[in-house]
Amino acid sequence: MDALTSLGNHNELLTKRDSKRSLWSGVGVAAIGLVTLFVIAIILFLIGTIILRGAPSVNLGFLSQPPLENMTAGGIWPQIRGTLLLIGGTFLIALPIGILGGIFLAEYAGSSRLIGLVRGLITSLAGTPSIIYALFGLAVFVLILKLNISVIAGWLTLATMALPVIVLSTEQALKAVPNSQIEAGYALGMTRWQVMSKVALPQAMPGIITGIILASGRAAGEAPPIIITAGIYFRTEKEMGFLELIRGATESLPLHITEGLR
Amino acid sequence: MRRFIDPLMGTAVRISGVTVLLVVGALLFYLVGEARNAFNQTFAYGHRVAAQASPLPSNYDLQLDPNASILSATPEGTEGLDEKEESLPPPSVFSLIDSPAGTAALLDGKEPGPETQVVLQDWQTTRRAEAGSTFRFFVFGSPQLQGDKMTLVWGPDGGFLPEYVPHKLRLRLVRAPSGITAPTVDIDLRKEPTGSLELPAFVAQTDEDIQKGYLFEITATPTTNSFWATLGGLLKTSWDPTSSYARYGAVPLFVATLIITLLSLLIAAPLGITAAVFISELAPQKLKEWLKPFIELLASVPTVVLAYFGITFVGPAFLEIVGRLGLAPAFGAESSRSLITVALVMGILLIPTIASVSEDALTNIPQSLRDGGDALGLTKFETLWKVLLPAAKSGLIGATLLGMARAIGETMVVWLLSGGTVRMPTLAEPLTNLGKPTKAVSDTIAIDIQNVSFGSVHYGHLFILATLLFIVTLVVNLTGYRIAKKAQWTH
Repeated sequence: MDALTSLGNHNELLTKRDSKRSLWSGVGVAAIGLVTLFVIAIILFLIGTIILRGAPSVNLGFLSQPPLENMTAGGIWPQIRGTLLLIGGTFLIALPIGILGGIFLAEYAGSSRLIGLVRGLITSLAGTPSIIYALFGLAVFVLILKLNISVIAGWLTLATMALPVIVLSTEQALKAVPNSQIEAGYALGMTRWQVMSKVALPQAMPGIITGIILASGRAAGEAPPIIITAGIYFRTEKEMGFLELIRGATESLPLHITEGLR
Repeated sequence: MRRFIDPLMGTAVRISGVTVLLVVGALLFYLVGEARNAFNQTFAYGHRVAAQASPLPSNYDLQLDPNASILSATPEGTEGLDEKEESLPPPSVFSLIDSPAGTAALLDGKEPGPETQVVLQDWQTTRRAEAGSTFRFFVFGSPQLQGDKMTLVWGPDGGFLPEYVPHKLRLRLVRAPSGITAPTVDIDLRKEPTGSLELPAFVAQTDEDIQKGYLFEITATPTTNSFWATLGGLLKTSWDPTSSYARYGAVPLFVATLIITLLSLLIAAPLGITAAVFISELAPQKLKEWLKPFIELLASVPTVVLAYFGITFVGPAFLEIVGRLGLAPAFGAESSRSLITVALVMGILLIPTIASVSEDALTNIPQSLRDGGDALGLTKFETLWKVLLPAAKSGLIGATLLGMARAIGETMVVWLLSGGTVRMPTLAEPLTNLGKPTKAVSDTIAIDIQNVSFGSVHYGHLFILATLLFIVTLVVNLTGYRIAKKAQWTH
């Protein structure tokens, strides 16, 4: 740039055009900066509004009590418990199957046309709207398998939804491990599983964990499957055993907010 | 030990792999499979007919005439009558008539005879669309009828739209009373759904006389089978599954989804891409490391929370602004739950998706292109505009498509902010659609599925909607991934 500017000093025409161009460049860059600032402001405002309106109500009692007096007082403990219960069970089901399934696709399945098709399907299933999983869960788990609207049906539905995300990120993380290292493992006389567990998985771990975090955000935040397959506004029973708890519908945060806004 | 673990884990991996395949298969199988219930649709139809003295009073309303007969094939059918009522002999027709003329319905297909029970009010049944079906009814005057003319009035039953059934509906005169010459009557009820017809008077003195009166019939001849009729029904513009003449026209739902998607992309794509350009090309390294996760943080906010933000802030703010500017009528704005609120909040929701993928596409461009721009003496902005944006074009289109797939399927924002009223946008004064409530595909599925019975026609239609939604997002997503992938530079 400097060279060009000094060159322009010898040619008035060029200088004039140059200063105009650099003015436009400045305006353009400033506009980009302003728009970005606007985006940041929206996000700050959104998060700020929610925190500022919510923070004064949050205290230990609010987090540990059930709702009282027709949902106008008390706290949200059953909703928090229900949400944690749903996420916990979902991962107990989806994590082993998802990670092993990802290993299967990356290392065991080969690359036939059928597997290519399945890979494409799983990719798009990871971006499929949650309402479609909700409908699937309702038809298969709630109605056909007669689990009713219950925590168990919710686990299975949310696990179906989390599965493609976990499979996909595991597979991609494993594919990123250099082939030479895997071949070196085999050359040392390691078995297939030893190569997997001692060479490939440790390197792929960060990618897999990213996938798990993405999947948990999806499972906890997507309201439709929870509302449709596992949700209830409030349960009247006060004391429940674990079995009784998971056979029935549960309160959850997404449903509580939805009911509050309807 | 080694020998033991390897096959064991190999088996576990294969079992998991097969489980994943089974889950994917089951998802597709049941999604499409449950849609079959929609094709059990019976295509209910119903008409009211009444005989009245001529001329008709100017304020005559067929829907309010207590002596009109409803001839209807609705799924409710005879459920309204309990067994006791059915076994009772029907009361004398004239004891029920309080007017100069009356109409009577008759069991379909049968010729009038000694066993025929003539009842004044409706006789209803269920039938499949395939079955060609006929309602026959007598038209007669009561002893109070004066003059030598009477009028037959007909019209669709309340809530029934003739164009929504795949039947040819015809009204025909089968037989005139002996000694009376009546014109031939053969009317297409789809072309002329409501109307009246003047006839020479026929007076029935007793219940038995009724069967000597005019005999008319309404026939429904199916124009196509249940399968095509159900698919064709989806292409109509009224969605009202809970009416007794259920209508499943999904066009307004898909139009709403389309408008919401396009408007939100119009907001999110420029903002998201510009922010991506800033992060990738202009921000200092320190700021960049902080800014990208910050924008992606928005992606992790649950959509219910965004809906809360929409209800408490975006909707009321929009109302306030257009109200201050005096533009409320121009936007048709009445409530804070409206199409424009959904689109604005959806626009915010899409920013992180589009910004993040666009930023990847821009970062991926080889440094040599930037250097080339500098070497040509281009200014910073010229390099951005003329070199980098064209180079990243397919990545940016891919990012927009991924955002689009998200907008099409997003449920909670639409559910809580749309107002939940099915509405076909009007072409005249298009701006007024923005401030009105609406209902899109995803929230219709979510709300309706909580109130349908398992295996019903309505239930099946929700699965058709879900399958269509699935196919659309699948195509958009795969195209997006493919385009974004093609954009990757080989270093």
